[in-house]
Amino acid sequence: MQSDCDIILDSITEGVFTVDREWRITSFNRAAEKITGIPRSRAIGQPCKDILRADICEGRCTLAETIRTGEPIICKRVTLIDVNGQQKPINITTALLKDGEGNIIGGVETFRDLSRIEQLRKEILQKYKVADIISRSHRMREIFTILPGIAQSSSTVLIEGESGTGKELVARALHSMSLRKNRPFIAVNCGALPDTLLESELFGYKAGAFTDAKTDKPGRFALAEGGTLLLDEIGDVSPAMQVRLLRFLQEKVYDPLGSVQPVRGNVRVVAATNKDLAQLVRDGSFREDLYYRINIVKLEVPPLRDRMEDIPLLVDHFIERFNSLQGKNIAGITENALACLMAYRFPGNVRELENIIERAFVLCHTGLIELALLPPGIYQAPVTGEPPTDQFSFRQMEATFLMNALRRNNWNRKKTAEDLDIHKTTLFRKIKALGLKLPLR
Amino acid sequence: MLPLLDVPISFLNIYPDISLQVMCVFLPYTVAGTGHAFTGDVKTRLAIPVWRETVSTVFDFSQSLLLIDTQGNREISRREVSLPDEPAPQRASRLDRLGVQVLVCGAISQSLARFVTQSDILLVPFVSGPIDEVLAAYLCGRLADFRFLQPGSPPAARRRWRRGRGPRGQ
Repeated sequence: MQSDCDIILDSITEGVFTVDREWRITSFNRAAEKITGIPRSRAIGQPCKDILRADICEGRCTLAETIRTGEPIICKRVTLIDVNGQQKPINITTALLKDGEGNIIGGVETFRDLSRIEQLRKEILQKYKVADIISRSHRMREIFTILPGIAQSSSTVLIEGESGTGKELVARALHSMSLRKNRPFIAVNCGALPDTLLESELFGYKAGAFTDAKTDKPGRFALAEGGTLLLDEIGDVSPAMQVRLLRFLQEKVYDPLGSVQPVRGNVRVVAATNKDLAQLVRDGSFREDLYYRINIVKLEVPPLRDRMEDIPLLVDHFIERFNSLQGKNIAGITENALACLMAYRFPGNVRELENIIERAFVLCHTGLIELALLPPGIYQAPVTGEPPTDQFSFRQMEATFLMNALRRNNWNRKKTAEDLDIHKTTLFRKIKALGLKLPLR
Repeated sequence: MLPLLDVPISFLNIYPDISLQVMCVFLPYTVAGTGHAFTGDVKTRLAIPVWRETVSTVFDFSQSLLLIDTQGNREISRREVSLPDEPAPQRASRLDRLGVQVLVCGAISQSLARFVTQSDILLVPFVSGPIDEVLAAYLCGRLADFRFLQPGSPPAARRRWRRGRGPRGQ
């Protein structure tokens, strides 16, 4: 005959079992039977490690930790092997079990099967992933759509975008989708090298070209032969170097330092910059003919603040990556912390987000990334006139989302309403209700 | 090296989609309740994943492996090696490199079981209990005793035990 407690436990979707001080299972609910595949009749009285069969059972038991410290462990992500020999990701929460007098009589473990969530997450990631770029924003999706076509051609590509937006990833994606994918991909940061060094780095030199040149050295163009060469920060290249690059782009030949014979190269050039090259041309610091040579196909990678919908995807991606790299078990991020990230403007773009998650990993070992683990200064109160609080409410998140959308559309409310696919009256009503203060136009 | 025999052993399959290749020899006597065994003349390297002097619950997550050289029903030597966290193919090839011929273990994932059996290692899964008792039972063919059956084992394994056949390979 089932007790009321058993009936309640059987009605919930999370697996629950309790153990006594000898680690023997004393109760085992229906969801636990379903997740492990082991019937209750066989589980009761057995050591919990023989039933749960998780990667933490030997040496890293969370229940033992909870009983030792008295502290519950929440949402630790682990893997178990079910009765059919399938690995299942689950997250577990442990707590102490006490009698009426407060004596510890064992522990209780609740666990949730994440297999379906994992599968869906993988499907979603697959849908929003091209090469190593993850995005669901419509602007990035447009890039994803045209990327394969551009990759198949051998035209020079110009990638513009702020620092940290992933220009090199786009260049690598272009290379990996092209017919040159089995040949080298070489990236050169033109801004990091002085002009004289950049010339020898790019084009190489012959023995005797200068005092210490004892042997021939191939340049990056030679190393990238048959493949793709990314010239990052092309806007920082000196006028003299621009002429040499122009020659290669026009005639496909270059002169190594000290060489009397020009060398023909089969290299696809992808140029990237975080500057507005058209503006540099107008200012006279960038050659117009070179600009038109590299601006055959232009891809503009939007900054992260213009694709805030990517933040949850990217956060999940970085958590998974750092879990794997650092052997940790961070289950995710709290809603407050995520809302806080959604409200931030990310001047350093995706790279800054990656660094924020990496920092949280240094401070956090298990469970969820909390608001307190984000760097000070990330939290930015929306302009609602309300004092900031530790709890990030839905109202504040909505206000921040609308402010970002308005900012993105240059404070034009009609455009913003169209962008958000809502009626402009709805937008006006929300602006008023949230008390948003917009700049005077 | 022991002779290899491809045996259609669907009746032995605990995980139905794994086609097993069992390494065995048919010689003057067999270990009780089986059709095949390692004989008194043949040296065999047995591996048992170990945790606190008992068979480790899940081989996929084990951190330590006991290697035991046996001859017939006698133990010749033993040593313990540590196992790093590694994917299934690497773990199976590690066994291969260590010269393991028989793996007696607790639970094992389907994927790792597939890699282990593909490496021509005789797999004896779903065993639990203190190492010395398990080893003694293995050497004299008494692993079919119900007390060595892991509580969380699949129904097919339980049926074998109930029939007194014990784990595969025994």
